[in-house]
Amino acid sequence: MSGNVYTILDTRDGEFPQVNLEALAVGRLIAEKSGKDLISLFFSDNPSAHLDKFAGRGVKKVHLFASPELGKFNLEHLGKLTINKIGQENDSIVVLPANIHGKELGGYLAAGLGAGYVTDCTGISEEGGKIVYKRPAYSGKVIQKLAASAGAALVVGFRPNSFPVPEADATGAPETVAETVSTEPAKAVIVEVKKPEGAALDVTEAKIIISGGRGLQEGANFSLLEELVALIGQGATVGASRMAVDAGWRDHQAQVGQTGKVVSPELYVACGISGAIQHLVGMSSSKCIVAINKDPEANIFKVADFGIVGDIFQVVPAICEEMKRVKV
Amino acid sequence: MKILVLIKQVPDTEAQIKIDPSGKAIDESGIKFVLNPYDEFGVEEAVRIKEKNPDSTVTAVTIGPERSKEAMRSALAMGADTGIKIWDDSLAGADAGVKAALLAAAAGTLEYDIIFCGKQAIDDDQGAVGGAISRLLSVPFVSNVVKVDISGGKCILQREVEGASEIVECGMPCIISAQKGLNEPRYPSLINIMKAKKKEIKEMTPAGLGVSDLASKTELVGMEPPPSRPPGRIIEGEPAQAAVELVRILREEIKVF
Repeated sequence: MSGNVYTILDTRDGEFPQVNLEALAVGRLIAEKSGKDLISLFFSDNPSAHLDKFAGRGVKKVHLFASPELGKFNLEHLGKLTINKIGQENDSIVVLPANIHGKELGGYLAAGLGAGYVTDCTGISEEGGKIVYKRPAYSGKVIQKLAASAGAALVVGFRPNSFPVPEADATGAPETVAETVSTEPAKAVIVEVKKPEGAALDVTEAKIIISGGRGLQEGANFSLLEELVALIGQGATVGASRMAVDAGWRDHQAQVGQTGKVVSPELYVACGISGAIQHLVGMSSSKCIVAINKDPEANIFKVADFGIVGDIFQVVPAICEEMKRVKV
Repeated sequence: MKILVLIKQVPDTEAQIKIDPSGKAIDESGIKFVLNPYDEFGVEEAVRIKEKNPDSTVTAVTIGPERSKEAMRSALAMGADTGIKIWDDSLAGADAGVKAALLAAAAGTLEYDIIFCGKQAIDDDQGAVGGAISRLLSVPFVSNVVKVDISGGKCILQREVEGASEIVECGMPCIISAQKGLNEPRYPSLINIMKAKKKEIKEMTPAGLGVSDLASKTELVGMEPPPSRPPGRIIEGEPAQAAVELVRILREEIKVF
């Protein structure tokens, strides 16, 4: 039996996150290229609240897994329910986001489905009759092109923010199937979710990142970048180089680079960051890069679209002033 | 407590990566290989648990060619007791699924309470192994962990996700993937480096582990360098002028705000 394209979706704090729409867009792309049907498995404590989101996205069928325990991510529940539903269909393609939960689940599903695994996929094309999945490896120093081996199923984790989400079209709403959820008690369970007070937007989810490095000289000076982030408003956050994190100026959650996070925001502003290769591999897929550094020879200028050679303690406040002026 | 740590030898973070003329592998000449940084966090955490619980053992397990013994020696110098190295030449280019099957088979021959691994190896950057062996061994898995507390036969783990920390309670045995922030890995002392040279590294093969299906489920079609960025533009002028021009460009040309 020929397989399908499946998207694995859940909710986060009861919400239907943007990354789900990206998953549906990626799933549709693969379904069109492979001539397969697009089917969603949707796990939530309240999935029926979000059924409208599936309309006009090329989804043929949505399997609803509703249970209070599915309100929070649980690898064992999602993994087992998905594997039981899909079984060992050959050449199925399972699509999920390569965020932290999705990556935890991806390897599990690949093993359980006997499938190949591609994660952090950033592009999909066709070559020689095969669907080819591009993904950065070696921290982005190389792009790997992978395909499923002949007849094998494949689990594809796509990197958030890498695929456009088209507007819903007129294809209408999918058929929905309510599934019976029976789970054994999980061995690993989330007992608490901590969101720091006034928690900053995560760098992997931000549209604009204002990032600081050695040039800031001390942790307190990150307030300069925070001011600019506040002026830009929604979608912006502060990032940091490894040096700034290792010095204790910023939490490691904000670290961009090889041992931190790989980001591809609309705009990345590097303030006082020299541009070591470990940093560049974490941010060079940003759509627009601005570098501000007093050293005209700094490596960061090699990847920047726009550069200002100058003292960040003068340039950043001047940008803030201009932002205030144009916003009024 | 019996602890396994899955480790991998990878190119150093500084390494310039060149693609081999075959287009299917990287050119290894001139590359310095090191113990994967995320695995170092795993080794360190395992050794710290051992230091608190003196009856514990720490076994490092790797898949890799001869050169990967060096990474194994690093783990042994940090305090792992013994090493297991799995290899035969048919494994060159094997995908994560094959490696997970081998690691699960190796773990199956051992006793363990906790298996540590890095959240990903910085070569393939897949992070596939923890989840895969979780399924294969039917052992729970928590990824991206920055804090491990063990009490009453359970682990209380802190998993970092986008914009939040999750506290996860997990029975043992379990699999934990280490994220930066878990600890500060030690630099091994000279004496421990010397001692590590005398520690046993047991060599095993897929056949010896009873794993016969070594077919990858993915095919590497090719590798290419990342797209290069077009040359940028330096905005001249005094800080105030340059700032005004930058904000204009970002609003009017790039339209980001």
